[in-house]
Amino acid sequence: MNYEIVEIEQFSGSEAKVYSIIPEGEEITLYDRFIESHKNQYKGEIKQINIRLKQIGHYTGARENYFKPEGDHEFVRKYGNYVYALYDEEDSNLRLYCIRFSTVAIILGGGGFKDKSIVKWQESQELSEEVEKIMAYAASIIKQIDEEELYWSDNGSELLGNLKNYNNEDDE
Amino acid sequence: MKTTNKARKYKSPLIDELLEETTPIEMEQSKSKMQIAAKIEDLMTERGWSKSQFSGMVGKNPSEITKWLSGTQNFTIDILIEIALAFKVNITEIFTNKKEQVIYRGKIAVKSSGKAAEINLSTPYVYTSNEAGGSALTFQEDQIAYSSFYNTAK
Repeated sequence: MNYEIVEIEQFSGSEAKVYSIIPEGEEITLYDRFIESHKNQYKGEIKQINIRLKQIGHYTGARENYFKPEGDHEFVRKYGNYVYALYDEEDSNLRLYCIRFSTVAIILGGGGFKDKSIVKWQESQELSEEVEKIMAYAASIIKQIDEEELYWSDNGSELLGNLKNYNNEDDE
Repeated sequence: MKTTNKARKYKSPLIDELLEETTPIEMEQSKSKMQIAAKIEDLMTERGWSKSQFSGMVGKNPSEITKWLSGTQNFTIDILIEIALAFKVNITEIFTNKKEQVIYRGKIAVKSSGKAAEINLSTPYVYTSNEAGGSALTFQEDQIAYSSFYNTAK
């Protein structure tokens, strides 16, 4: 699983770093891909998500209450709570997934349409694919941290190290 | 030898385009909702109240409190008065921000000031302090990645 972790300039701030992932061979982040896929149909929802991410980076930090824990039992048992969905507005039909590291950093993934009748992500093929994808990235990033390829800056606010992870033949 | 690379800064034209369409009012509304949620969380933390304890005090279901704390709730004045009364604070305090310090395993990082201070500790905490010098410590619910490798002294 080869990818680059980049810092999103518009969202990152003094309270939290906001990152996303560019898979190898692609030009834009998973989050940009999410915007591209949904901006025509759900522009209002995406604008709200953008505003919330900017507030998190600049004013509030990534407080856990702003997010809903996601991921399957196996992932949580193995790694802990790292995969989250951003809480959406009551009338929102979009769900955004991310990897959250305490209040100080989030790594944005993708997401998708979430009908209000859908309770669990497993009930939607699109959401299932997105959660599976962000769990795979989370597992790989945690492995990098585990192996000290990635680590936190001295003040604990920033990811450093091998952020352009293009050397993995196999993560298993 | 470990690389000390920082993440490449990525400025998304797509995000710029949508942020440009966002009005200052929309921005301020969202900011206020999130900051009020943060304030309620901080007050609960200071008093050592769980969601269910607080929900009992304001006569709501815990799921309602979860929504309040999510930063998406459009609070009415009536609800804010109920919240202020439960905490025995003036309603204006609900709109007041406090500085927050996040204490990690082994170190403290002062997030709201330019220069980081460090204090040795054995467990992660969130540390809040108000302008009058009051403070509260609470257990942080999770750790940054694998805590055994999260040694800020690296």
